[in-house]
Amino acid sequence: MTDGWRLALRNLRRNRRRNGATALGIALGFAGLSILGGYVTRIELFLRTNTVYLQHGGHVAVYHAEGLEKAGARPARYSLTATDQVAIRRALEGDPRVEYSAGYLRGMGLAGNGCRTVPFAALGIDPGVLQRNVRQPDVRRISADFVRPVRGGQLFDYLDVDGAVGLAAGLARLLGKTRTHDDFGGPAAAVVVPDCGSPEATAQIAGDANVQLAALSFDGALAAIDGEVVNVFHTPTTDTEDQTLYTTLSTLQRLYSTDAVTYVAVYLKKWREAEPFARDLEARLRGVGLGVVAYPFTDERVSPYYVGSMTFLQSMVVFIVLLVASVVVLGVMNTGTLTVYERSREIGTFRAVGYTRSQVTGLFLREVTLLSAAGLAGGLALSHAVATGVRLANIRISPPGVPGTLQVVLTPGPAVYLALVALLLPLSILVTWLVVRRRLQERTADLLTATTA
Amino acid sequence: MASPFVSLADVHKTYRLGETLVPALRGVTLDLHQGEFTALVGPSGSGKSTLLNMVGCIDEPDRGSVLVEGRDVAHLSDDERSRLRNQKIGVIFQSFNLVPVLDVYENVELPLLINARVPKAERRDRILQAIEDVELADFVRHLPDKLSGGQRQRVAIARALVTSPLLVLADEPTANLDSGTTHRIVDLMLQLNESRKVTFFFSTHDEKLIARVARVVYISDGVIVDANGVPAAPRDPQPRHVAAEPRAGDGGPVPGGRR
Repeated sequence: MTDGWRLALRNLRRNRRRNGATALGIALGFAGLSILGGYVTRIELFLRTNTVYLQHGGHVAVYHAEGLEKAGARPARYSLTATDQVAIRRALEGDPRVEYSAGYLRGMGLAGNGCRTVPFAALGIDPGVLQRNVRQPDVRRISADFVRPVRGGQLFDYLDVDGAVGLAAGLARLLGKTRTHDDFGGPAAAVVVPDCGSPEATAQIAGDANVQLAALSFDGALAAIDGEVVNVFHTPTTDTEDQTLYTTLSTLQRLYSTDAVTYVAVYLKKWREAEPFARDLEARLRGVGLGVVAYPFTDERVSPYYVGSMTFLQSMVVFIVLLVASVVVLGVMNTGTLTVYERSREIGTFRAVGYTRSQVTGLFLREVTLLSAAGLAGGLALSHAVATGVRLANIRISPPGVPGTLQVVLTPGPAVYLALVALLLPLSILVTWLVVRRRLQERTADLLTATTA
Repeated sequence: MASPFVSLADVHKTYRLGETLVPALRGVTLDLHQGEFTALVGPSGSGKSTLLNMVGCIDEPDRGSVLVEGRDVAHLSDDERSRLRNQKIGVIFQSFNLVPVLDVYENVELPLLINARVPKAERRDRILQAIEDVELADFVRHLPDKLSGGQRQRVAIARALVTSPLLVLADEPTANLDSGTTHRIVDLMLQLNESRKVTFFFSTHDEKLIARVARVVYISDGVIVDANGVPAAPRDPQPRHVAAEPRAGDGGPVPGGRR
C-alpha cells in the first residue's frame, strides 16, 4: 500500500465510531437504492416482454403512414398491402440486427354463441411467430404464468383445426364458452340452442367450442366464419380481457377477405437498438417510396402502458435516489467537516512541512474513498442478503392492470451497482473535496494555531 | 559578507480580529545568514510567531518583502512556496505537531514523501540517520502517544532535519519541556548547527536558552528593537552530546517498547 493510502487507513481508524456510522449510512443508502434498482429493473423487464412479445408489438412496429390512427376505422385504406409487406421484408433481409419479423392483422367484429353477440377485437398472428415469442428466454423467465392459457393449449398446437381461436377469459365468460376444443376430444357437433331463455341454455351453449365471428370485410361486405375455441387466456392487461381474441393470421385474413396486415412487427436481437433501428428502417423504406412509419416500442403512441408505467417509475426512482443520495452526501459531508476541523492543526503541519494544497486534499480524498468503498461493499452485501431473502420468501404481487401475479425479485444487476457506485462515490469525494479545499483556503498560520485540534 | 539566506525588508503584517485590526509586524527588517544560531526574543504578543511564519514562508506580508536565497517569495506560487518550505526549511513547533497515527519513522518520513529530490532508495537511510541523530533509534516504531515530551520534540527535530534544510525555524521549541529536557534539546540543536551548518532561528522566553546563542533578535510590539543582540552569558563552548538512553527529564518509555 502506498504511503498516502496507508495514512488514510490509519486516520480512518482514529474515529471508528463516527466513520463506522458514516460507512453504515453509505451502506444502507447503497443497499436501499440497489434494491429499488433491482425492483425497477425487474418491472421494466416484465413490462418490456409484455409489450414486445405478449402484446406482439415487436421492438419496432411498421405501420402505414397513418395506419396507427386510422387502420381501425378504414382498414382497407390504411393497412399494409401484400406489396408493402414484400418491400418491408426485403428491407429487413440480411440486417444483422433483426432476429425475426411478422405481419399482424387487427380487426373488430362481433362474436356470437347462437344466443348472444359481443364485440371483439382480434389479432391475427402467425402461429410460428407466436411460438417463438412465448419461448423467448425473458418471457419464460418473467412471464411464464402469463403465456400459459387458462384452459386449452397454445394456438400453434392447433394448426390442423380450422378457424382455431383463443378467447380472452372475459370474452369467453361473456360468450359462455367455458370449455375448449380439447374438452370435446375434437370438433364437437354444433349445438343449436332452441330457447336462449331456458334454464338449460347455459349448459347447451357450453356444449361445444364453436363461436361465430362476423365482421365487415375490407371491401365492405358482411362476412362471417366459424371459429373453434382452442384456448382461453389472460390478456397482458385487464382492460382488454372482455374483447380480445387471438387467431391465426390466415383465419383473420379470411374473415376480412384480405391479404393485408395492419402492421409488421420487427423483433431485434438487442432491444436497446430499437430507436435507432426504427429511424434507420423508416428512412430506408421511405427511400424506396413506401409511406410508412416505424415506431420503436418506447414510443408512447404504440406502447402507452409501457411508456406511462416507466415514466412514473423513473420519476419515482429519480426522487428517491435524490433523497437517499442527499442523505448519504450530507452524512459524508458532516463527517468530512468534523474530521477536517478536528485536524486543522495537522493540516497546517502538512502545509508547513511543504505539502501543497492538492497533496493535502489528496490525503483526505483517499480517506473518503476508502470509507465510501467500505460502505459500498457493505451495501452490496446487504442488498444481496435482502434480495436473496425476498426471493426465498417467494412474495408475489399483482401489478396494476395485469392479470395474474408476479414474483417479487429484487436482485439488482451489475448495471445498477455500477450506476450507484458511479453516483455515490464521486459525490462523496466531491463534497469532501469542497470541505477540504475550503479549509485549505485559510492561512496556514491560522491552521497551525486552530483550537479544534 | 555573504548575502543573507533570508532577508526581510520593511515587513508589515496586520491581523483582523473581528472589527479590530491588530498590527503584528510593523516594518521589520532582518537578515539571517547561513549557519547562524539565532534566538528571537520578545514578550507575548510581540510578533515572534508572525515573524517566524514570514521567514518560513508560511505566511505572507501585507507590505514589504521576504527574500529567500535572493528570491522574493511574493513572486512564487503557492505550490512553489510549498516546495521551498519542503526542500529548504524545517519547522519545529512548540506543541510538536506530530501525526498521532504515524509512528516515529513515519512522522520523520512525512516531508520526504513529497520531496522529489530524495530518491526512494535513499529515503530509508536518511530517515534512520535523522532518528539516530536525535537518539531515538530504539523508538522507531513507537507512536507519539507512547513518547515523552522531550522524545516527541526530538522526533519533530528529526522531521525538520530529514530533508537537510538550510534553515530550521522553531517556535518556542522548549516551552513545553522541563528544564533537563530543554537543556538536552538545545544541546542537540547546537550540535546540529555546528556539525551540519544548519541555520537555526527560534523564538523563546527561556533565559537559559538565550544565554547559549550567538545572536539574539529582540522584538517588541512588532518592531525589531535589536537585531544583533548578544546573550547575557557566554555561549557553551562545547555543546554536550545527548545521551543514548532516555533520562529522567525525558521521562519516556524504555527503548524497544511496543505500541
